[in-house]
Amino acid sequence: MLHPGAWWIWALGMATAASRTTNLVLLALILAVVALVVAARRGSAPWARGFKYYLYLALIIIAVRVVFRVLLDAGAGTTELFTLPELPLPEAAAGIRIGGLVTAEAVVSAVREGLRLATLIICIGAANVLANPKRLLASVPPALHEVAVAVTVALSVAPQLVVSAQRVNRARRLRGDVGRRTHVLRDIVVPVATDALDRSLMLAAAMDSRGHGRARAVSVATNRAITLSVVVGLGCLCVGTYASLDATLGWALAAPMLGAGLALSGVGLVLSGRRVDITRYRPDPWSWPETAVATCGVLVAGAVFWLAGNDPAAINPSPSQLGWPTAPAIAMCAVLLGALPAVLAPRLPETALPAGRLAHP
Amino acid sequence: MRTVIAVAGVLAGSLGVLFAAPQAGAAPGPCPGASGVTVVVDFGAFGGGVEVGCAPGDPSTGYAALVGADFDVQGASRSPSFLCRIDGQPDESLDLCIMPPPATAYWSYWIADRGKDWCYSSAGMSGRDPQPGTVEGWSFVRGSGAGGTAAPRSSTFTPVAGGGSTGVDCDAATTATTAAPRATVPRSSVAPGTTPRQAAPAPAGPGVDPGTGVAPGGGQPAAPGATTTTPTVTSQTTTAPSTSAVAGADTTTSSTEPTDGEHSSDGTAPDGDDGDSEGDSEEALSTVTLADSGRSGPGGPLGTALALGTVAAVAAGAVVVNRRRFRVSADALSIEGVSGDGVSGDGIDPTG
Repeated sequence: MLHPGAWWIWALGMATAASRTTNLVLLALILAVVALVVAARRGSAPWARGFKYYLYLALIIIAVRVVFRVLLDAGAGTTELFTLPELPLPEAAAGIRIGGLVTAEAVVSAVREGLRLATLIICIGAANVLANPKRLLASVPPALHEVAVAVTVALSVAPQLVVSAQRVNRARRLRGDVGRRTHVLRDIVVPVATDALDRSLMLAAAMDSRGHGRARAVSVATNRAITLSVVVGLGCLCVGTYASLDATLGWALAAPMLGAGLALSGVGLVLSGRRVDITRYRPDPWSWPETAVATCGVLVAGAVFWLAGNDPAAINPSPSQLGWPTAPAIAMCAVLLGALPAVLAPRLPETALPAGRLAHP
Repeated sequence: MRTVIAVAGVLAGSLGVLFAAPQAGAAPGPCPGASGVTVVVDFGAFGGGVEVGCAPGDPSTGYAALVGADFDVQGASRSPSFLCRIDGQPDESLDLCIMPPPATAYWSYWIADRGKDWCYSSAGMSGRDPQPGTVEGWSFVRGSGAGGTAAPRSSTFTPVAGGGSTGVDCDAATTATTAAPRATVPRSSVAPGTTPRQAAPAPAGPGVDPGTGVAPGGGQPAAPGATTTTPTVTSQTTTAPSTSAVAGADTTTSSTEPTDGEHSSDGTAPDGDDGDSEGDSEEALSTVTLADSGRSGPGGPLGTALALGTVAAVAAGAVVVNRRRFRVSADALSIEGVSGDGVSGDGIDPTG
């Protein structure tokens, strides 16, 4: 059972690599590598079974992108496919075009963008499927505990919905409701949403009864110090981020602001950690498989970033060139590195028994 | 899962139909007659000159007009409707061409009827359909503020009978007026390494210069059989090319064009008033650089087959591993389903 942080670092590394490229072949390879690792190392817990829904979501994203591009702005190209009737707009909206010429280059570029977003989502979905969210909450430092509690409850909504959908489906099949006319809203959406909400409330109550939301009393001065340092730190971070993105202000303002923001926020978080009174029971160890898995993700991200600077035409191909899609061999080898966690991570018991203590050795 | 693979396969197969070679067949210099769209590109921001080409027929968008006039056009990777590079300028040191170019360094789009003033186009290169007989202009703008925009430093050529109209009526006071006509360099449509300008039967024909209001003087072009190697680049004297001469030029230029777009150097800075500039223009035009030598362009079908084969192998591995590990399907009536009703079974146990 791998430390969940390692899986998240790996998945974020793959997502970072995917965000840097629009090469069709490279994105498809990242997708395939992530799917391979998920297939090899996911557990059989219900929260680990929703990966195919992320794939469906990915297809929907690509389709929506292509449809919007075709409808709104698909004229930049030389390979004309067809022409949609153009909707006449007033002169004030001369820069906007609805309908019109549709070229292959524009459609391919929409597919590229859609695939990039889809790969990002699938990487995060893989992290959700591979890393036990409850163990992740247990490994978070006390300073971030309250944030982590809220994030965990929120993260459990998606797998919770999957579980509820499966239960509702099972009940309907046992009742013989499948095959008859279905009112989607009444028969599926409402029961699933109600079930998911009930279970989330049960989870919150269970966590509360175990003391997760309790806070220790600290002095007024500490409270004020916490508030001040967090607020000022966040303000400095905002200013620093804006300055780093703005061309005219530059790094002279951004660097000190970012540094000060990080320092102040860190101080605020450490101080607020004193308010939380928790101990950790049997924390997950971090040993060499975790380091190896995390390193794979970081290496893939670093390699794609370096290649994007070195060979931009291959990693971010020009939209006006339609050609045989390919990726440089070195980029493909770098992405294949990301498949190593499929063998480096410890194997899970391959059983169809219900999840519970048995599935978490 | 199978439907996912099937849909992806169909998409990939249909995309294989669309790999077409770029079109060829443009002529240098402004369009002689009422058909075709004249395209003017001002490389002044990069130290170059003004290049004039003609996109034959009726291009459907400003982008198609640029490509039809034999310019190498590249849009931004993320938003292909934003024009980023023409003939490789600006290069990667100025703009990586991933995001749309900023308002402080971009190619501005101008339209004009022949003989009228340049108007700043309110639509993008893929958003309007240029009329045959009109002139399109592109000029690179640097700097910010209203003073930054500048029309291409070229006239809009003499009007031709039967030419179209852009339909835009812009006030001469509000648009940047055209500068004094500079010597323009017609698009070289000759492969690198070969003798430039095989074509021109009319030595001054393709080398036509902007002549607003200057009466066509000078000698008539030589007989169509003459093969002069370079056109004279003159500034003040103009010669209205006779349609027959230019028609001859058209056919001969198209026969010497290679299928790949070639690029002429951006450093072509023609001398302004040098009448006897045969040598100048020859050395200027013969410095042809292949702008895409630094790019690793799309590979052939073998590369694609290998790459897609790798992807397919990894994906197949994922499917196989998944099938083998979870042999009992996650069906509603399987064991894991029925007994998964308890609190500990559904993954909401907070103690893990």
